[in-house]
Amino acid sequence: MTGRALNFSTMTTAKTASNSFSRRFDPALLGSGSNAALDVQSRATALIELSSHRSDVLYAVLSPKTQEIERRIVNLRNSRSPSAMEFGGKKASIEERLFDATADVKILTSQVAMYLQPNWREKLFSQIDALHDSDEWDPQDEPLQKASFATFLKAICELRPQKRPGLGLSYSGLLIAAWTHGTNRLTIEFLANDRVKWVISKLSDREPEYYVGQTPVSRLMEGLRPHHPTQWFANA
Amino acid sequence: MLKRGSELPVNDHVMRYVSPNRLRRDENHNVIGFLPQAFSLRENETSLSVNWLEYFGQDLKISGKQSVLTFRSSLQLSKSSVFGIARVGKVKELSQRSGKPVRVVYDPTRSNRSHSLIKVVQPEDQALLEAMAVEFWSTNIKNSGV
Repeated sequence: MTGRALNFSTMTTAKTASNSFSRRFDPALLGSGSNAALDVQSRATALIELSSHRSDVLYAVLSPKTQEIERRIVNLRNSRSPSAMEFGGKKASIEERLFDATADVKILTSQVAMYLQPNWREKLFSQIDALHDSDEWDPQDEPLQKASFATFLKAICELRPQKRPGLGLSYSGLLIAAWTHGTNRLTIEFLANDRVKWVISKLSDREPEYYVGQTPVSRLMEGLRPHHPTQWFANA
Repeated sequence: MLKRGSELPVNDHVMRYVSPNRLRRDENHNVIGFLPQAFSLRENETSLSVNWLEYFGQDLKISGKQSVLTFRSSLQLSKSSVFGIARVGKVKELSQRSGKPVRVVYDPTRSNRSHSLIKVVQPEDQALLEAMAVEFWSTNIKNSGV
């Protein structure tokens, strides 16, 4: 790497992310007329979405039983798992923490299952299992953060890449996705609250160039577009 | 032998331990490189830990193996981890180009006499971390291969 200086292009924006999930949320999913056509997953997802975007009017149309189901789902989503609690001052073991973190992200994934190809989801689960392999675990690391994984899912639903990324984990449990096309590399780190940090490295006239950015998920594609992201996201 | 705090010679080499979750993988989980996050600092760190290979001698094949064995005796290593090697001069050159020059200094510990530090990596300099990830991968040793 000699010759001209590294080329850095930084894109940062504070613009608020538009929420693709909220755009896709359809209150009609909860009506009784189309119940037969709904699978359990769609209903659960719609209920969870409702809990985030609830209005009194919508809530009032739910039967008491449905309201109870919704309450349970919300409790399940917010509650801490038994192994995350301390009994008699004893902290959860690494194995227990990894198990819980794995369960958490798989439940989150099931909430957007309808947006993922079945084999995509299957492979994703096996990648998560590998990241949380207790035999390979670095005791100084933190398991995958649920908030980071939620941002990842949102990004995947926005980008809809045909090619799955390789996955990694930061020390603090942030998910990292890597797409590699020859010497052109895209690495995205998923932060909480729908934000992403990304870095691209590529060769231009045999000289390495680097581009970095930090954006909301909703602006990620715009940041990547000048670098022809289909090279990473499309199947060869 | 160098004194603690001395800068390592630019033509010497350093080795960095990279645990499995900081390995760059393809979609089928095959290892194809290092992630830039392998060169970021942990919350309680101010410098990047490496081993100085020439401490073990001039033959890099032998010193690389010795360094891995030293890592094993001082750290709990994952079986599928990988060690990356880079020339000290190259590390300094990369950091200089990003505008934040680093120093690579000898910092022996009781259990690891080859231990050294890359001071001071800017934790938010994603481009530098990515450049280091590429450079250290160019010569690597798999833990399972030693």
